[in-house]
Order: sequence, then C-alpha cells, then structure tokens
Amino acid sequence: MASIWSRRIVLKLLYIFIISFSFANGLNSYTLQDSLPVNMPLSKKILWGEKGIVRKLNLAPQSRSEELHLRSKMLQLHQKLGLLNLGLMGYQMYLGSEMYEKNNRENSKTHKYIGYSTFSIYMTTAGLQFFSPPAFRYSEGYSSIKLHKYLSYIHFTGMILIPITGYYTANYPNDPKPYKLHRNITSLTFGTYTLAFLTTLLP
Amino acid sequence: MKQFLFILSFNVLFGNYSIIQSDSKVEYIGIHPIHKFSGFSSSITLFNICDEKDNFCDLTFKIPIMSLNSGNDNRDSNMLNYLNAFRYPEITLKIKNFHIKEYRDESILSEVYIHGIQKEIKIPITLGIDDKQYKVSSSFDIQLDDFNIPIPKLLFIPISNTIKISVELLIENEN
Repeated sequence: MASIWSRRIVLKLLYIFIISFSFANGLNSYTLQDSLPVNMPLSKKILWGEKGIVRKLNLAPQSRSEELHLRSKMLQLHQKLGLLNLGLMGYQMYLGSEMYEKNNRENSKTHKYIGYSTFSIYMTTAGLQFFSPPAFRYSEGYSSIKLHKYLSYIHFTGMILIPITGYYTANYPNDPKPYKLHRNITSLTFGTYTLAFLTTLLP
Repeated sequence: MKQFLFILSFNVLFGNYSIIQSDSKVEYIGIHPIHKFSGFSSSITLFNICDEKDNFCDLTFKIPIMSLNSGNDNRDSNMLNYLNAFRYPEITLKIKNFHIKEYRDESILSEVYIHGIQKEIKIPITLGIDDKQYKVSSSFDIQLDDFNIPIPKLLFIPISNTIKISVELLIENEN
C-alpha cells in the first residue's frame, strides 16, 4: 500500500481539500432558484414562482424538499379522490340514463345530491393538482402525464357545463334539447375522465 | 453549475480512469402490479485512487439522484421526495482494491450508499478491455427497505420492494 501514497496521490488529496472547501456550501444547499424549474406552467409560476402568491403570503413550506413532500402528499390524495369520483360519475351516468329511458323521476333527488357531491369532490381533486407545488422538472415531449393533463382540460370544461345543463334538464323535463346536451356533455366528460384515469396506469 | 464544474474538474484532472458519459448509463427498473417503470442517468462520475501501475484501484461511482429521468416528471419529483434527495443528493457505489482485469460475470463486493444508508452488496461484473477502453456491465437488485426508503404507492397499491439496477459503462484510461 506504500506505493498508493505517491506524490500524485498527495497532490490529488490536496486538490480535493481545496475544492471541497470552495464548493462545500454550493453542493449542500439548494436555493429556490436552483430547484424551481424555469419552464414551469404559468399557473404554477403565479402561485409558486419566486415571487408567487403562495410565497408572498408566506404560506410556502420552508424548503423545496418540503415542497416536494407536500406535492407528493397532495397528488396521492388527488389519485384517491379521483378514483372515488370515477365511481360516483359512473353511478351518476347510470342513474341519469335510468331516469330518461324509463321516464322515472323517482331518482331525481338522488341524482341531484350525488351530482353535488361529485362536483365538490371533482373540484377538490382538481384543486389538489392545481395548487400543489411545482414538480422538480417539466420535460419537453410526450409523456403519459401530459396526456393526462390535456384530457383534464376537456373534462374540466365538461364538469363546469354539466350542472348548468342538468339544471335546465330538471326544469324543462318535456324539452328533449337540454337533456340531449346534458347527456352528450356527460358522456364526453366521463369518457375523457376515464381515459385520463387510465393514463395514470401507463408506464 | 458549480456542482457540474466540480465533477468535471475532478474527472478531467484527477481520474486515471474516467467515464465516457455518452456511452454509459445506469438504469433502474421498478415494478408495480399495473405496470413496469424505469429511469436512467448518464451523469455518472468515477473517482479513483490507484496504485502506481493502475492495477489496483479504489473506485467510487456517483450518480446525482436529480439526474435520474423516467420520462414522467411526477414520478421523478416523487422519487426525489422518497429518496430525500435534497439531503442525500447522490447514490454512491464503492469498490475497494479492485483488480483491473477482465471479468466475466464475477461477483464483487461493493458498498452502496442510498438515502444515507450504507449496505454491502455483491454485484456481478463483466469487464472487457479493449486497448485503453474498459466496457463494464452489471445487473443486480436492491431492496428499498434495506435503505429505509418508504415504498411508494399508486392507487393504494405499493410498488415492489425490489428495484432492478442495470449498469453499462464505458471507461477510458487517460494515462
């Protein structure tokens, strides 16, 4: 082993010490600027950017590490509520068709109240994603999570329109137009929502 | 940027052996009952201290966790959280007194540091030498609970505790 301690090695160790002292602080502490992705979406920039609302209101966690932990928790809940909502939406679709095809108004109250719940849970689920801290990076190109996001633009718009068309369907039961619109929007929303859910199962 | 310069200067100035990153990668493969997922990094750094003849070396391989890319930004962000990457930013593999020669799937004792925990594991190594270039490949498993890493879940279902690691390296001797 004596040969290992050659002059070259001693020089190397000296260099390591000098470099370590020079860079130690830079390596161990990540500032916000280091870890906030420059290309984060506008919504995240407004909320979580360096001068974002969450930071101005002093609501942000103490470090980026804690932010990513919070993000992880919020998105886990997003997944679970999303799954619950998929079941509720499916049941709503079934109730709605039953009411129309059998001309059965008995379930109208159930349909209405489950509708309120579905809408509330959906908005909470969307909010968990929308208000979560930014990811570590936002890559270019295709990914299943991007497809998930693009599909959400469609089902979110659908979820805004469903209660409105539902209101007209309930108030004008003899007019087929509001019902047709309500059914078509619901089908599109449920379809895109299901697809968005399935994209989370892709690698 | 500082970190990059630091690693670069180390590799360029003080490595008898250095990794050709464009031809090297470390890949991890995880399994969830619904799908398999994988991520890779080519930002591998090799630190080495060798004897005079460069026959026996203490080798240290390092990969910044932040460089691992699975193609899914959410998954990568989650991984940083689960591996506590801001506190333990690198995955390190050390091999002491490694004899530089050809190997064919031979088991070598190494020390792996992940998530602030060190564990000795035997890894199979295949090493081919072509002039001053060394082609290394290895494939082995690590267990998340060995490193005290919480097991992530997708839709209430946890991923497998076993993560497969596959390594392909091209190393050059600059002396």
